[in-house]
Amino acid sequence: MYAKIEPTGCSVRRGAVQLRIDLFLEPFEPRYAEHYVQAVDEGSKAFKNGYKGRMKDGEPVDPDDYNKWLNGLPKKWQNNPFHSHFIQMSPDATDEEIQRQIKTVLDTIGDEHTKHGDVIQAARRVSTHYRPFDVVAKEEKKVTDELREKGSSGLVDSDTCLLLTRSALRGLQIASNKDSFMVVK
Amino acid sequence: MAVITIGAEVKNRAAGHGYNRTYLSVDGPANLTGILDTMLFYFHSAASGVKCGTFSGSSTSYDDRDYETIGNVTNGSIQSFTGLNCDVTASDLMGEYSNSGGIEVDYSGYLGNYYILEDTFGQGSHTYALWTGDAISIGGTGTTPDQPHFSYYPHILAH
Repeated sequence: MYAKIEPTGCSVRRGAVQLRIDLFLEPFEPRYAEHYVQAVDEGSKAFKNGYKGRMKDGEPVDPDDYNKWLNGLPKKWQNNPFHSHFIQMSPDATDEEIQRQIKTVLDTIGDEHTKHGDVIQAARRVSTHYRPFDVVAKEEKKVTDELREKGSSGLVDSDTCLLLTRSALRGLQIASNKDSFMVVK
Repeated sequence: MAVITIGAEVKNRAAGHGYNRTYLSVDGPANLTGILDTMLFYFHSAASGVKCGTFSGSSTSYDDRDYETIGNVTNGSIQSFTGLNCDVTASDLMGEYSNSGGIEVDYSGYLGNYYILEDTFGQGSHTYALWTGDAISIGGTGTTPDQPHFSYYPHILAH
């Protein structure tokens, strides 16, 4: 099994660098077949052509006709993550510290998954929850939006602006080097 | 330990919903107050830009309390995400947005979904329309604050 950083799930959250770790099985491992699934092929011409029936605010007027179209779409096989876990790190955390934490996540949650255990409880045992600020996302977004647009924010003090900026830059750096953080068990 | 639950059952349903909409699940309002650390989804088609969180309000007017940026989520099976930290208060509804892809949906037999044709996360209070009978495959769980389960890196706290 292996762990990879998923860049689209990385962000600044409560002041911390929040990283999303996706966990995958390999074909020779137990329970691989549960996560190697058939799913709608969004690359297919039929999917891209879209449903031609009547829609109202995102819902088909004729659900039976829509289901018939859905069930007729081409499918493809894909290896889905068996689980994903978020970790929160300081912008000062080294690459080695991050890799160690990713390994801990993979070892703990992976072992629990293999033995059909409680993955959620296992995840709670390895959660870091480093959070410099106890702030909800929408309030933090106001500050980070100002930082992005103006380079500063009048909503918080300069030390907070600096920490948020450092966390954002560190997160971008990690995401751009995601392959170097891959861990294989 | 007091376990918080929110949202509907996360499973393969009859169809897939549209995107560029914020959906609030009327099924499964939060049973307790605390922190959601786990969110689950089942997407019919692969999604991008997924956000998920808690909404407070009444009638058709809701405002997000807190949310998490999940990112891209694949389709075809239940996808679980732990290590989150999303504030939730009893009776909150769970809400989801994606800018592509579609969440699994049933169109009848359930309490329904509120929806709006935009991303309302972090945008204040909005008025939603109701699709009666719908259920979407989003759910979450967490714990009440009397049972903390997080740990810190001591040296990282010292700044």
